[in-house]
Amino acid sequence: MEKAMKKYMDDNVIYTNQFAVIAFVVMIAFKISMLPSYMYETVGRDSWLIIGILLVIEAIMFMLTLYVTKRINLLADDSKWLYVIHAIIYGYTMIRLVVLYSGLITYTANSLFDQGRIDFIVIAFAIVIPYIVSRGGNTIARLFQIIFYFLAVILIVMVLTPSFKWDLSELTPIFGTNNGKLINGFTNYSVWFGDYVLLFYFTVKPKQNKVLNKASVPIALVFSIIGVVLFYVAFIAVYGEAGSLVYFAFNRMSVFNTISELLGATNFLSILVWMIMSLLQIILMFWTATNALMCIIKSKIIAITFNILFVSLVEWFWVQKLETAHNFAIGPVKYFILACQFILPIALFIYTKIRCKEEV
Amino acid sequence: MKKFLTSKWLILIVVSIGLVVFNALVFNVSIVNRNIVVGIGLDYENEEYTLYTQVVLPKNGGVASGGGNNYITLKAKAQNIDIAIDLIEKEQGVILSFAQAAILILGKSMLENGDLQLVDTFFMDDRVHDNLLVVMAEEKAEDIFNSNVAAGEVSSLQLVRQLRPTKAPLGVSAISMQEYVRNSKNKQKINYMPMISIEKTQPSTDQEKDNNKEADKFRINKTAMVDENGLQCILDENLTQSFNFAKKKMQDGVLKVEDGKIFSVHIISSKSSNDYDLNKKECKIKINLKIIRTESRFEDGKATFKLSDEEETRLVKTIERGILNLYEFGVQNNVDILNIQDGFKKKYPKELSQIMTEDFFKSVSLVVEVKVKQV
Repeated sequence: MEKAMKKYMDDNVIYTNQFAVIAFVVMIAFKISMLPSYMYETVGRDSWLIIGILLVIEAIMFMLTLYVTKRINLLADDSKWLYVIHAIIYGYTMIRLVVLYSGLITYTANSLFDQGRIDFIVIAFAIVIPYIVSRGGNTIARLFQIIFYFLAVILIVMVLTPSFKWDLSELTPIFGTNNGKLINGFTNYSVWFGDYVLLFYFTVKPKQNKVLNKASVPIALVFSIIGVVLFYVAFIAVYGEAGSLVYFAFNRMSVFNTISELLGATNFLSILVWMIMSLLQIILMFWTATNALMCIIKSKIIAITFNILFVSLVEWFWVQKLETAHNFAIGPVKYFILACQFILPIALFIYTKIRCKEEV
Repeated sequence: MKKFLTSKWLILIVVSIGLVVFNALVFNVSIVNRNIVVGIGLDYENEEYTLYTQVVLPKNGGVASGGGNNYITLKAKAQNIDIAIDLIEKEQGVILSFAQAAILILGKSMLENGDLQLVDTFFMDDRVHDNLLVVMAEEKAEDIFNSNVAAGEVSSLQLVRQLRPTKAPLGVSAISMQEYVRNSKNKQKINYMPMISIEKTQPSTDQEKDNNKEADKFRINKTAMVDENGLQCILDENLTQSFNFAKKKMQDGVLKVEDGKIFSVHIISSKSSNDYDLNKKECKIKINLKIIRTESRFEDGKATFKLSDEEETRLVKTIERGILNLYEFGVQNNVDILNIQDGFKKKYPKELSQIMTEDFFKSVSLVVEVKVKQV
């Protein structure tokens, strides 16, 4: 048993370029689905600027996370102080999981079926996710890496065949009205941010090619910031004030390409892309929650079983609708999440510095 | 046995069986119980809405056996669209699939007296394509669905073909649902949609001629201007052309220039941009045209497709005059057709008290600048 546990702990070693791919996917996935509509409802046409600022902060935190994960292995470190960190990470991830998982379930129910039943979709995911989680961190990272090329091809096809009827004047005036609500844009949707916390349980091992190795993470972060901001610009220019009525922004926006014009409302390319990205992120969240709980209770099987049962039952019996998850996310939990997003990386950064000094 | 129970193969088998079983339990509807909607219509009468759905009826054997398709129009009266859809589905015992719907036809009474926010129902339905075209019927949407189209085609698909032709005439101001809803949410913005009239014409197929059957054809050269209160005015063919020059980006169309010796130009591209100056209370519309003369003419003994200087001046004057007439028409009807107020509002968000007055757009001087590039 102990041998299996040790193997699992060692299975979290990934390369810097895998870290970059994961950062790229998780920075994008849930920010281009329901969030554009929620953001527009709160801050209006300036939401592309707010998301830009938030993503820059997130990118800085990703770099901090990279610094930490290159130096310590949280899974193998048995310092007592880390129990507090594990507990916070567990609470943080479970709250985000409940909210974001409901997005994936609703999306699957709406886009793949006429009247998809949430309970069956929850059960289907509940079988697949724990299996992948049980395989360990580097299996998940490898999965991200394999699927990344597939995602990149589809995204490029979609970007190269646009047929937008946009009105760029919808973006003006910048900071013209509704300025009082801008601050809400920074705080209300904290649950959709802070994906770097999901990477703390990895241990990053540099590859031999140093230049490319160092540059891969900043390049991935810059690409995802530019991609998401441009997506928001296009979203606002296409839908204007109707943006708050569009629930699955990426799915709806992807209709505006020449391929989809010929085929009808369903763009399977976009459904595939988003489902894969979001499922990967949900798997990563489950893995993080499992690791956090496992470090406290010292049992992988119990951690996986408890997490999947808990989240599945919450989705099945309580969340059901997207609105419930949304209202929960913008309730008091948003402050806890927001605090964690700053406290966790800074605390772990300080801890890493201390550990490095001790080792010297 | 123990080895098998802990192996990945068992997990894979369980996952596969699980996925197959759950897929079978999900609510899936057979194609026989589906009606594929190609056109949607809405009329309003006696405080009730009538929803029309033109659906495909696949023939036995389908296209493979040379069967082709028939179309029927299903309708239901209700207080709102969701109830109407439910009524049709229950009466017919089918599920309506809106994914292939290509056009939404709004009757005149719907635009005059109906609640236009009902259109949002289609917009918010993820199954409905955002590129769905929105048009107004000169009288009732029902007339369009019941028309006997000359080419032997179903009316909604024939309309789509005319609205998105390979060679677009300047008089068609097509608008998709995405653009329509976007504009409708901006209370300062006037919305537009093509108005469809039906004309009697000779049948085009020999069989129809033998049956002495009279055919209908659609004319799409007028534009309905709509705001949150409903239909405001209708632009005729000339005003529609000017509207397209002033507000839309075009990549095709032929413009006839009269006022003297008639000639016409093929529009390769037309782009417009607006500039607003609150100090001068001036709105400048700049139009950049790329054109070519449709027919050659002789100059210095050589055939050329270039316009003469005099023709170019007449072309510029024609477009300028058309846009000024459009503005005047808007002033007379109290409709800000060129969305001047919205433009000023966006450029001067801190001067709203001056801009948001009722007659602001009427007090603005309009300057039109046309630049022509011959290719």
